[in-house]
Amino acid sequence: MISYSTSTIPVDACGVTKRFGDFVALEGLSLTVHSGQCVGLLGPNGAGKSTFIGCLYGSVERSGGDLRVFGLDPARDARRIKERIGVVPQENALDEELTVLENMRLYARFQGVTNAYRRIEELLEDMSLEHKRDAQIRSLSGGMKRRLTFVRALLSDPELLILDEPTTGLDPTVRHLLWDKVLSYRQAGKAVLVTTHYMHEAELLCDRVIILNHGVAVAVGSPKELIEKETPGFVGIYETDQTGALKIHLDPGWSCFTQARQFCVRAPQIQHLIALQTASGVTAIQMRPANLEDVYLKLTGEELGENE
Amino acid sequence: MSDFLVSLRLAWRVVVRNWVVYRKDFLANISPTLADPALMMTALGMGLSPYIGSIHDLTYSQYLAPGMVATTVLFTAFFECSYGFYVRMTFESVFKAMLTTPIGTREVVWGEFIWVSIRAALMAGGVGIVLALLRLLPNPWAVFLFPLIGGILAIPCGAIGLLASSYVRNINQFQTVYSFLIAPMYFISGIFFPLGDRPILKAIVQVSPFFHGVSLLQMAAWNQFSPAGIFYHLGVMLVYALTLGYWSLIRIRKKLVN
Repeated sequence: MISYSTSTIPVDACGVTKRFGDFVALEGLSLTVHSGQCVGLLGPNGAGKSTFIGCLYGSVERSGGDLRVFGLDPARDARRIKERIGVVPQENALDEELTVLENMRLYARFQGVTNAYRRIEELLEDMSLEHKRDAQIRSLSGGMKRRLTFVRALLSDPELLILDEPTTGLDPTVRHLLWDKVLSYRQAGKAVLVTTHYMHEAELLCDRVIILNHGVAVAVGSPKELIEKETPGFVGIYETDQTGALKIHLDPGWSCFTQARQFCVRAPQIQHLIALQTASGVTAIQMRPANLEDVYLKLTGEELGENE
Repeated sequence: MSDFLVSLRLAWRVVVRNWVVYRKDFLANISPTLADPALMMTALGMGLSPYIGSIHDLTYSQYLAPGMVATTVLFTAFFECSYGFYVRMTFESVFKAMLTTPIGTREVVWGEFIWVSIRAALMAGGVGIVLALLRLLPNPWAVFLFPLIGGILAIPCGAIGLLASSYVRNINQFQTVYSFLIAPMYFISGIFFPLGDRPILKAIVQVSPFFHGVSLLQMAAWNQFSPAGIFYHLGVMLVYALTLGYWSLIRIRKKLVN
């Protein structure tokens, strides 16, 4: 049970389960998001990330488990929860016929934002959209629409920001702008829950990540901890046709695998890779520290199952 | 503030949203609901009146007149809640964003009902004024009753639209709903011909909420009120408004909440 004192915790989930008929979308997911923290939900398409997010504000009814958002149960108090959160959904769902300003005014009204005009102007400026305030949504680029969706989520100055694949399909400039906003938001003591397919994004933003596969959490921890635990060391990447030359010099304790038609070797120290290069005479395309993507692929990437 | 009032206030914001979008394309949006009754009055009223004797001591144009009010109400409410709602729900994903704000499914559905009810009431009033100016209303004061009756009639008509939205698997299936439910309900409703001397037909139409709205509009237009008639038709219409409205709320919630 969740005690009364936890009621200020933005997200406190314990064993949350969601079934659609026989299909188990989410199985016993437990996680907490504290203020000033950013937590990432990672996992393949269909792993249950969006399902969990829907549970938080009542657009998905959980089948089991305990879930509290600011101490409130979304099954009963969705409205009061929604007064305190901002959501960037996977789809922008902006009103295409309306202008930027009209869209934001409507949402400010939905959120019951007082002093909406100033707030909108502030946020538009913050996202470098102020020159577009009278433009129709359909005339905006994908990156502008996404930035506007962030403006919409931030209108009510929420205590918890929920981002569902916030930067999918965006160019690097927009992505960096949005990362910067999320980081400063987190720094301001707000809580952030983000789902993403970009491991670099997760490493950059998240204090903690949960990797989901088939609705089950397969790893939980800070990006650094997970790398240390699952795929420690350094990765050398080579042309595939060099595999033979490399293999005779490999230590049995190292792991090797093929990725995107490149042969990869993961060794505990960078020195091992340098020694390998000297011994085999094969120059690596790249040598880098192991990252979250290595962890992700190790834990989820073996097979493309039915959820693909 | 009570839960009911909070919901009502949030539902009103949904109404405002619909209005803001509607007025963007005002002329295109309002045209069919005005053109249909006008064309019908011309073709059937003006065109056929000379060939048809009087019905209940009315010219055929006068007989047809209240039906035009009913027409605009039915089509305003049904199309807004079927095609209009379905497009908002499916293609524009409007509710995916809206439901992340304090607005919930109840407010979405209430908002739709208030929206079509107000629109239908205004259209009923507008059509009524034109009919009165054309001297087609034996009781011109009916103009003041049309919005009231139209506003209530819009609820069951809109609810049928929402229910259709919740059952169809793609947008083309609305045509089936139109052909097998809306069109029969419309053409056999007493608008175009009196049902009085056809007992079987008359028995069947009693299940149609639209028929009862038409009956009330006709009573008002022709100044043929009877307390029993008002009580019966209004009662049935209200029961339909509540039951179909509630059913559509349950269905739409199922669509919007997984």
